[in-house]
Amino acid sequence: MNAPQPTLRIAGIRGVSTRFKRLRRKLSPEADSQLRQVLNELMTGTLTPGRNLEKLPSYGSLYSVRLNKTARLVFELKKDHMVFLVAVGSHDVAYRPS
Amino acid sequence: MTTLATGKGQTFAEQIRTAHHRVQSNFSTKKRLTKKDLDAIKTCFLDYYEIYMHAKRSVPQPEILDESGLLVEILEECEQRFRAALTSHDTQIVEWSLNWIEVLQELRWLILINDGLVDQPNADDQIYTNVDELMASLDTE
Repeated sequence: MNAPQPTLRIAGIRGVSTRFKRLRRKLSPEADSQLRQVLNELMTGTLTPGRNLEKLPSYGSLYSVRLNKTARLVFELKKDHMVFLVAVGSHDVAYRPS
Repeated sequence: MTTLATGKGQTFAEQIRTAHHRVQSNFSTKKRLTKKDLDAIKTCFLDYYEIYMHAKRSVPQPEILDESGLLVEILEECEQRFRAALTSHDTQIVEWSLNWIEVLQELRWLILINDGLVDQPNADDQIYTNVDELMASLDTE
């Protein structure tokens, strides 16, 4: 189980993977808008709990954050609080009945 | 390419393609999935899960880079097949389909994450502190 993380404030974005660039082109306009919003929230340290920021335990300093119900962003947090954008896209687990 | 220990001499890509072919060949041509169909492909998903668990331990690994995006497409296609079963009135079919969609999604994300991590930033990459500038830069690429 991934432990929820406290609000994070990043210093900036340094580097975007080729895969991220390709995946971003497939995002819906709504998800792309949310991507912009999430990056702004990360920059200002105002990410809300509903974004479900999680550290991915098996991948070092990788974090996952929700853009909307069906899409998420994965980024790597560097020691200088810069982030590298790794991947973005659908991860639709919200439909599982509780 | 690296051969993974679980793959009986196959590369990572070959393992995924083999598992995918087994799923396809065992799928019923009927519109609706049945319990029998799902039972027939159960072992294929254990294969997927084994591939996932093994690869997860060794990410990032340049040898499993999915440069063309074909492996992700294969997994997305398979996922779509199971999504169609989520409207079933049989709760067990829905439950199994959900489980397998999760396995497919985790494997797909493992590939995406691996691809992203292999492609590490350069020391001279521009630093963005303004999101609008970053997005504008991405829009022009």
